[in-house]
Amino acid sequence: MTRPLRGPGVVVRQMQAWTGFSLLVLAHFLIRPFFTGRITVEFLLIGVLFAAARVRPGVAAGIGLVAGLLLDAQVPESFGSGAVGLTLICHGASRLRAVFFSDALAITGGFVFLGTWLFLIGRLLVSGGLFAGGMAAALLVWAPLTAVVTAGAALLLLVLFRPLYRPAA
Amino acid sequence: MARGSSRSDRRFDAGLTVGCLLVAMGLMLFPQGTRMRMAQWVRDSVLAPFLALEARAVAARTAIEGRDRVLAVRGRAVVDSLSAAQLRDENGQLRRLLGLTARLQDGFVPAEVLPSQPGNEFRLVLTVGRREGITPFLPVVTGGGLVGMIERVDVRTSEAILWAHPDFRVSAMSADEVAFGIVQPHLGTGAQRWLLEMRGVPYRAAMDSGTLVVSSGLGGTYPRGIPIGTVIAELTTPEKWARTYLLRPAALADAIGPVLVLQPARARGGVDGVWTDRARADSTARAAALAGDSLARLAALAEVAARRRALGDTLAPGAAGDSLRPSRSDTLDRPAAAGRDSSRPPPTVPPGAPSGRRPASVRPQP
Repeated sequence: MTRPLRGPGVVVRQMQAWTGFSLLVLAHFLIRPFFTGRITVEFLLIGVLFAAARVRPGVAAGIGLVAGLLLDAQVPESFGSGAVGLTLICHGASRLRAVFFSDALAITGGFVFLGTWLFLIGRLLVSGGLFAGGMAAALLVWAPLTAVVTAGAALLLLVLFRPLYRPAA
Repeated sequence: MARGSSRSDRRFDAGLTVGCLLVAMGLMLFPQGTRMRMAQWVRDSVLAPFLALEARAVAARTAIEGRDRVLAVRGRAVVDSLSAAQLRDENGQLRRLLGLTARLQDGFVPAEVLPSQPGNEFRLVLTVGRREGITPFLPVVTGGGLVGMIERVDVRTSEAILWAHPDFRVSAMSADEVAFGIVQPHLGTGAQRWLLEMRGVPYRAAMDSGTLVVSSGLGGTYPRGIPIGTVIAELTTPEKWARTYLLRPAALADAIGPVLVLQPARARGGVDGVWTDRARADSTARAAALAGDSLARLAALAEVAARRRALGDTLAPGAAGDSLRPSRSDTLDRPAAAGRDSSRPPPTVPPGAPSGRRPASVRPQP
C-alpha cells in the first residue's frame, strides 16, 4: 500500500504503515461503539485518509472503494454511496498529499476534517436518513462536530504514534 | 521515457479511479433487494470478524453502563434504607414521646435539642428557657427515660447536662425497690464511656442483668420512677461491702430527639405509673412466680401432713403443729405481699440505701 520508495527502511516503513492502518480498523470496530452520542470518531476514515496519502491516486481510489463498501454494508439503505464518496475523497487525498499531508499538523487536521465532513455530507445526501433531527442540523451541526472530533483524534494519533502515521516522504 | 512513464501512470490512476467510481455508482443503481443481499454477503464474509469484535465492544459498553446503573440503584437503595431506619427511629421516638405526654398530661415543657458543638457532647442545648418557665435543676426526660438535668437557663434556651456528664448523679433503685444506689456515668474508655454505673448497692441486694433501674425520688431533683437504665452486669470493685452494677442507659445518647422538661410541680407530684409499665410487668411476673411457688409449697406441706397422719403417733402432735405453723403462715402471707408488690409498693428505703449521700447534681432540698 505504500508508495514505491527505494532505500533502506522501506520494508520497515511499509510494516509500520500496515500496522497503523490495521490498528485504526480495529479501533473503528472496538472503540467507536463506546461513543454513544451523535458525535463519533470515524477511525476507519482516518486510516483510509492516512493510507491514501501514501499511495498513488488510482490505488487510493481502490482503497476508498473497498472501505466505502465495508462501511456501506453496515448501512444497506445507502449501499454504494459511501463507496462513491470515499473513492473520490481518497483520490483527492492522494492527489493533494504534497499539499496537505505535510509535517504541519494543523493542515493535516484540516484535511481530515474536510474529508470526513464531505464523506458524511455525501452519505447524508444520498441516504437522506442517517441523522435524526433534520437535514440542516445534520449537515451543519452533527456532521461538522463529528469531523472535528475525528480530526482531533487524527492529530492525537499523529502526535502519539508518529512512526506509524507520519506521511510518506 | 520518464515523461511517458508518468503519463502512463496518470492514465492508470485515472482509469482505476474512473473504474472504481463506475463500480460504486453501479452498485447504487442495483435494485434495493440486490443491494441488501450484497450488503448482507459483505457482512457475513469480510465484515463478520469485525462485526463480532464490534458486538463484543457493544456488550462491554452495555455492561459498563449497566454496572453504573446497578451502582446508582444500589446507592439509592442504601440511602433509602438509611433514611427509612432514621424515619422509623424518629417515628418510634415521637410515638413514645406522645405516649409519655399523654400519660404526663401536664406539668412538662416540650423542647427540641439544638445540635451540640464539638467538645460539648455531654450537654444538651434546649430550645426552651426562662420564658417557658424553665429553672435550673429540672429533670429532662424522653419517652425512653431520664436524659439529664437543666443546669443553666437563658431567656430562650437552656443547657442541660446529659447523664453521661461527669457531674451527673441520681439516686436510683431497682424497679422492685430491692436495691438502692447512686447512678453516675461509667467513666470508661471508648464505647463504655456511654454507659452508666450504679454504685453503693447493698451487698445483699443483688440484681440480675436486665433489671430496670429507676429514679428513687430521694434528693428531690428527680421524681421517683423515671427509668434510668437496665443492668448489664455487676462490676468488680474493691468495695466488698457494696455492689456496683453497669447499666445500659434508658435514653441512648444518639437517639435523643425532642425532650420534655418536667416542671417543678410535676417533679414534686411524682411520675409514678408514667414509665413503669415495664417495671410493673416485671413485678407482676415475679408475683405470679411467687404465687406459683406458694401453691407448690402448700401442696408439698399437705402431702407431708398426710404422711404424718398416716404414720400415726410417731411424732408428737405439738411438734407437728410447730413444724407446720410457721410455714403455713409464711405461705399465706406471701400472696398478699406479692399483691402489694404488683400494685404500688410503699416507698421504703432499706437501711443500706445511700440516702445520706448527696449527688453533685442533686438540687438541695428547701
